[in-house]
Amino acid sequence: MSFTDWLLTPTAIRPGELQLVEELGPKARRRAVIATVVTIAVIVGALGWGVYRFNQRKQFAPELWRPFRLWASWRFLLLGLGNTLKAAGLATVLALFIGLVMAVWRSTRGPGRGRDVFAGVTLFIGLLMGIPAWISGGKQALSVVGGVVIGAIVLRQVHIRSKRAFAALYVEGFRACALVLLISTGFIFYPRVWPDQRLSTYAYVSLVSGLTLYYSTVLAEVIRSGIRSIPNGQTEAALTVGLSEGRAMRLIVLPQAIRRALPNIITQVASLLKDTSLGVFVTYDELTKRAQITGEFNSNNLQSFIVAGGLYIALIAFITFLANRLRDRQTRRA
Amino acid sequence: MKYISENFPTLARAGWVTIQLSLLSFAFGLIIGMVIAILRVSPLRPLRSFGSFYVAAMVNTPIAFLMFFGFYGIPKLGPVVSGFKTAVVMMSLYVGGYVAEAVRSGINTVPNGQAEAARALGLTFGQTVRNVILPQALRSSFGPLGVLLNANFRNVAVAGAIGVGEIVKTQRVLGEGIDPRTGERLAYAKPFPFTMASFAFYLVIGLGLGILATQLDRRLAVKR
Repeated sequence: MSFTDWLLTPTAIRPGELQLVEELGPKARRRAVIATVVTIAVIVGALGWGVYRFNQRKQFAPELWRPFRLWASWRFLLLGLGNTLKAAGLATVLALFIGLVMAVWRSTRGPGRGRDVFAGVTLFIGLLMGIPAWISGGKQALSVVGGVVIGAIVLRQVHIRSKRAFAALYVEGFRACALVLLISTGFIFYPRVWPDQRLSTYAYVSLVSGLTLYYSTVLAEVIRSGIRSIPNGQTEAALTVGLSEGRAMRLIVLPQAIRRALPNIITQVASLLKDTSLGVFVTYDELTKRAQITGEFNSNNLQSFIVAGGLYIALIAFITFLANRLRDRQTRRA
Repeated sequence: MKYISENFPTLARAGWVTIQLSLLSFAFGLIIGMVIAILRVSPLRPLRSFGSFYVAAMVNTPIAFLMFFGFYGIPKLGPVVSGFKTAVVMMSLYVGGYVAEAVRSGINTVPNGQAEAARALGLTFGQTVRNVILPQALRSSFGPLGVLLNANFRNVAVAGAIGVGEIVKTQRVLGEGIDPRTGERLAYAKPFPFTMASFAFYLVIGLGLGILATQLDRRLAVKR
């Protein structure tokens, strides 16, 4: 295979991909080679300009890179990465659990009766208003929270459809909020309900709770679309052999739905891991924060961020790679 | 309510900054993403590799991180730019990677017969992409693009980390009892009302955008 052959191999056809070109003729090949050379020249030129400016501004100066020849610098950054993983791990577990519950609640079938919808909406608004009221220390607030708890118990007894309304409000509401806002709000309010803790504890808890609230809604939607992709016949067959609605969901639909949604779930977990960097807003001691500190300490901001960026890309690209491999395998099997 | 109505101009200006930032960066991101998506399906290997590299770099880097990188990095390479401009540049580069993925998955929903028919008619690669593939692909990637626009609107809050006065940062400063425009102390330090105001801001615009995108997506979907 000559170099031009290699260069012009049409897009590798992965399953489900569109083929836009066939074998090129002699004229097209010549044009393609010229176009390739020109693009490579442009890309190399742009990179070269960057390197040139970098050099001109003395950013390659050895003293700016020297800190990274010490194990201590790496240890500092890697411990930060450990904290990143700690927050991401806990948030992932919590968000998966809540997301699963919300997806199941939201996928229940049957017509919505006014009374059930009302119960769900009441519970949601009660929680949303009651908890902040409790936090800011209102006297009546306790009764509000008590009412909500009773409401939740009643909700469990009343009907599955009120759960659907509750789940819909939860998912649509928190999905529309900026993650930064959820995290920094936690940081303001936790000290008021739960005083006399260390600052780092507040930072950790508010980061994890913000990530959990937001990503549980995202994961709920991902899992729900998995549930919807399972043919109706599966549920119908399960009901026919005498399983209850709940067991049909748990034993028949969910296992298939989760397997189908798994690549997307992993993609979202990678995205959650990325968003732990929003911990800088609440001074959580993770990789981005530590890169900032290293940069200030050695006055080599740019270099520290380049090194830390390498760590992020390596870690997250690995997770994305896993998700893509799983997705390819699933499409090939289908 | 008193606290919000007294500081309403400040909050409104901050909301406007958020909207401007998200629309500007999404517009540039659309252009970048479209170009990268076309590179990724082009017949030339180096172009495809560059496209894949770009998407991998953007999709695998945290946005907060990119923001800091731009904030510390761009001045070191020469131009000194404001926080707002840095934020626009970094957000559009970031969202461009995601737009490229959305458009490419849209391209993959176009049946192979369309491309084959275009080739059989003698259209060139450029003509095939421009006149046959992209119009159909964009229609079916409208849903994901709507989701991205919404996500971009929420992600813009990260720009607060490099000192852009968007809504989340502004409400936080107001909540600490400081007027962000003059830097003077207010007579009160109440975080709660300002937090609620910005939640309301996000809920109204976020839910509105979501509903709008779903409706448009339903109307534009290609029936097959």
